[in-house]
Amino acid sequence: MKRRGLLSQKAPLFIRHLMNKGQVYGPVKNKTQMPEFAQVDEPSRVVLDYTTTVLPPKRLFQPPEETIYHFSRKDFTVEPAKVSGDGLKILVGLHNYDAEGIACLDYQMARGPADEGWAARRRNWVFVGVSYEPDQHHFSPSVGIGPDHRNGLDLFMDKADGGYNVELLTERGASLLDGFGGWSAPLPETPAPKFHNRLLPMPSDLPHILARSYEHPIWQQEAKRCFSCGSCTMVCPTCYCFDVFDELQLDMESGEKKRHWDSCQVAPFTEVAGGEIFRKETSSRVRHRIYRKFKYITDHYGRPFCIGCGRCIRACPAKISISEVMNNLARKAAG
Amino acid sequence: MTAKKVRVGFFDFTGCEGCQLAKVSMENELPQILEHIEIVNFREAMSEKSWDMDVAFIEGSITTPACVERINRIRQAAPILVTLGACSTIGGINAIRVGRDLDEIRQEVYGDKRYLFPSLPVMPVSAVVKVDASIYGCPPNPKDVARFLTQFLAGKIPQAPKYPVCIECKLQGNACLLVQGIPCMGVVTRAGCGAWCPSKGQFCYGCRGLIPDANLDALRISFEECGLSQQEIDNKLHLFSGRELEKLS
Repeated sequence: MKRRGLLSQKAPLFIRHLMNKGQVYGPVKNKTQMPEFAQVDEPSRVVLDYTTTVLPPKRLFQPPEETIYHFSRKDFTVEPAKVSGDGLKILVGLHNYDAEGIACLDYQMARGPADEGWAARRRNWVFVGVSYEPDQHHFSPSVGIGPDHRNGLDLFMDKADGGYNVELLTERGASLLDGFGGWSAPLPETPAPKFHNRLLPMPSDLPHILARSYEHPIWQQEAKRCFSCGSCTMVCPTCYCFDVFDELQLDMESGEKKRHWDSCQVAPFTEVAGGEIFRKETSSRVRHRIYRKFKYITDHYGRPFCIGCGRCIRACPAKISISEVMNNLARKAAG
Repeated sequence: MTAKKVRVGFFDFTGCEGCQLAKVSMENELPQILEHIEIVNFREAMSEKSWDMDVAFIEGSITTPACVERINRIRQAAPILVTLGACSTIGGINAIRVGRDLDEIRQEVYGDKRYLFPSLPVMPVSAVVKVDASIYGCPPNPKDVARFLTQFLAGKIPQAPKYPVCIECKLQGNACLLVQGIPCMGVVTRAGCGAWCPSKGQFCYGCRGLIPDANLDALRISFEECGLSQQEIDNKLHLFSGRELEKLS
């Protein structure tokens, strides 16, 4: 594999170079100084050294709220919402687990009738990964996404002494580098990052552990502290559920059919006509989320539908940890 | 649409009248709204009043025998009755007096003239008459009021969300305040405001009231971890939801 050195002070120049090739997106500081995936207007605003973002990059392909179509109650017309152009888009500063999260949703969104919004927004992207220093919650290697994992990435900026070693992973990625003269010789490598959180079972054992844990008391125990606030699923890179609603303009003639992210963790998610709620108990919702990550979809996807980013753990006001739940179940199954 | 305008009355009970002012201050939307509705009764903004109306919007909570009489009269006159704001919908700030002795409170407020001011336990409008729909919040969010009005004018009875503020807070991409040790009420509070306060870094006060099945035991533990005393936790919970907590206990 080809590698090129890039000194830290040259990184903004490199991003500027990419901005001449296409629209660049990446982790940029938002109003609260937190990195958030958004379009880059100024290379110096890109944060390449970050722990994680609150919302995963899926927000670029399935926005938190979007218009599906515009309608008119006056002349009974429907106009599908436009998804921005087909030009080249470059996502820089992607952690390798987030690339896997996007791959998970590429799979799921294409099953059955394909999600048109997702498909349209996913066209023409190049992914430029970057290495990261895990905090106490990341457990990606436990779901098969170790520091050397490069799946789904076209270029990778591996943090090295004094900068990055840029790895050329695909033709598409390599072609983006044409015309950039800011390279150095490959830089001295830094030690592989240490992970502080992990799953005890092998990834392939996770569905089997859940298969015999449906009635386990752990779901009741976790439910005692769960707020059913939905934060875990809202920040999850592989969750995709949404709610559809109409928004009328005050002229009472024009309006929009919209959707926004929804969460299986809130009670009204499963409320149907007549007021029946079929996952009424908090414990059944807590369990459902974890089965969605390690069993239901895993059974046909062939690998965990969790990428070990730890976002749900960081976002949980009740300190519920998906890795701790799985480890407790594994210990009890083994004991 | 060219349908006949909906005749609307606004009525204020015990409250700060902020809800009505919040509505008057929707300057950009008002001209369009007034294409569809005709305001026939609104003390805050007009002197000529009528009781012939299609909908009554009620602001403020029920706190005196006179309130009970008046709300019954309005209910008889209005085919549809909508509560507007926290006080009329859930009891609101006035409900901080829930659990205290009424005579003691009258003494505190009116002194030796207290016999002139009969008082009742604070009630949301729904405790006295049937309520057809509610607009939550202190004050109601203009976007939420617009959403309500458009749905209502389209012939629906608008429903408020039953999920907590966290959903809307995460849609904005905010990091959780409670996780950072800031005692935010968002986890137990009904959404619909678009996470108005937490999006500006201010913890949620819980002005839209509790979601159904709010996990208050877990909230107490979290707030203790934020360094709040039992009294402070009670105060936070009772600021808007005194009436709802009384129902739960």
